[in-house]
Amino acid sequence: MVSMNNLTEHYQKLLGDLECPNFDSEPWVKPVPLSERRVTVISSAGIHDRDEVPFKGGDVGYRTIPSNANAKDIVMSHVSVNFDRTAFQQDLNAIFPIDHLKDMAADGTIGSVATDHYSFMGASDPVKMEDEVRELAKRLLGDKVDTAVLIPV
Amino acid sequence: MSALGHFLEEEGIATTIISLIRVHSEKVRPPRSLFVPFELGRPLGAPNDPAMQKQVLKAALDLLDRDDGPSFIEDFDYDGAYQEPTEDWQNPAADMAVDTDVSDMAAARAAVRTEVAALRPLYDKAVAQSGRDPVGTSGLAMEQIADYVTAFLGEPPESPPDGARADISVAMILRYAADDLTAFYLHATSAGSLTRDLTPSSVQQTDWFWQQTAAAKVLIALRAKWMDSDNTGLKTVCGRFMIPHMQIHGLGL
Repeated sequence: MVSMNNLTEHYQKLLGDLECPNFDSEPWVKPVPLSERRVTVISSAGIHDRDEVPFKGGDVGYRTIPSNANAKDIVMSHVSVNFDRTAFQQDLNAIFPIDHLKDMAADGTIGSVATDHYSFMGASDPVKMEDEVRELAKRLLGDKVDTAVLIPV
Repeated sequence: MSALGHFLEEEGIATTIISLIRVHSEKVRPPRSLFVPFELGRPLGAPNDPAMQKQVLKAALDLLDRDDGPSFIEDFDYDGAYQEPTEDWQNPAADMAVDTDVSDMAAARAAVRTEVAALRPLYDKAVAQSGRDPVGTSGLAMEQIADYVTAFLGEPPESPPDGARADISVAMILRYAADDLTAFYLHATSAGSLTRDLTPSSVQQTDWFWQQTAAAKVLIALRAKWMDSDNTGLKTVCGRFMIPHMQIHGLGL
């Protein structure tokens, strides 16, 4: 299950050459101990509740997925078709591991699970997401979330 | 995700990132990255492998205990091979209508409707087994989707079908409908057959869909019809967001 190597050379080059943001600073938050952390998941898979507005091309917004969401209701409207979707279709935890986080909270590995989790759509320009991300950060702090696991697709 | 991590750290949220494309993490230099050598679309590994998924998640969380910032990349320790095909898996419906002449819109519509009907019991089995129902971005019933998608083999419909969102273009409805169509077929195959629970590999699933179904033949015909057209919306949707690059390459499109 090796990534990139199973793609065509052309597509590997496209991904490798993709322009990435270049930041002047390197922020570093010193985290609290693992057993005290309140953790949220932020995905770039373009997933959301079936009744939410689907993602469209260039969409820089995010969709909220509550911790108690039913996996059966989560769909994907990511604009790209160039990644495997069968894992998501069969098992939400393969891309969005909320059940595993809950298990870790239950056994004391982490402190607690955030009230909500989130999804952006990774095909959009991440620099243009900045305002949305900073607004999201305020929501997280309001929920006393101190840790985010960021998961691509 | 790396840029998002940068912004969140600036706002006081500690982040750890799973990375599927190592070179992107090397370029953006977010605080903590766990590179996993998995197929795109599988950031925590294979579906229905909770032990591996938890191992990856724990490894990502453990990066937060390190103090050798401001930026590092950890390689997840994994030496597994690319997923192997599932032996004995057979196509879910041997009578798929791949030989349908999709230049005949009525025949194409009938063929896709026949396939959808043949796959419905398998899709329902897959939903019952997995607790997952991944169809639903378009808001349309599968039979409507069969009709709506095949309609674009001719002139585009002027109005959206019943149940579709009123605030988006017909091209966007087509994109979501094509996504739903593909999800329906792929998820149906994950159930194996009605009598056996053999889940094919993702490559077997996608190769089957794109090479042996009338539905895919319709999508491929839509790409050919619209990718060079003056209709900007359909040109974008059909040309770029409908058929995976690997299939375009593999099928010589």
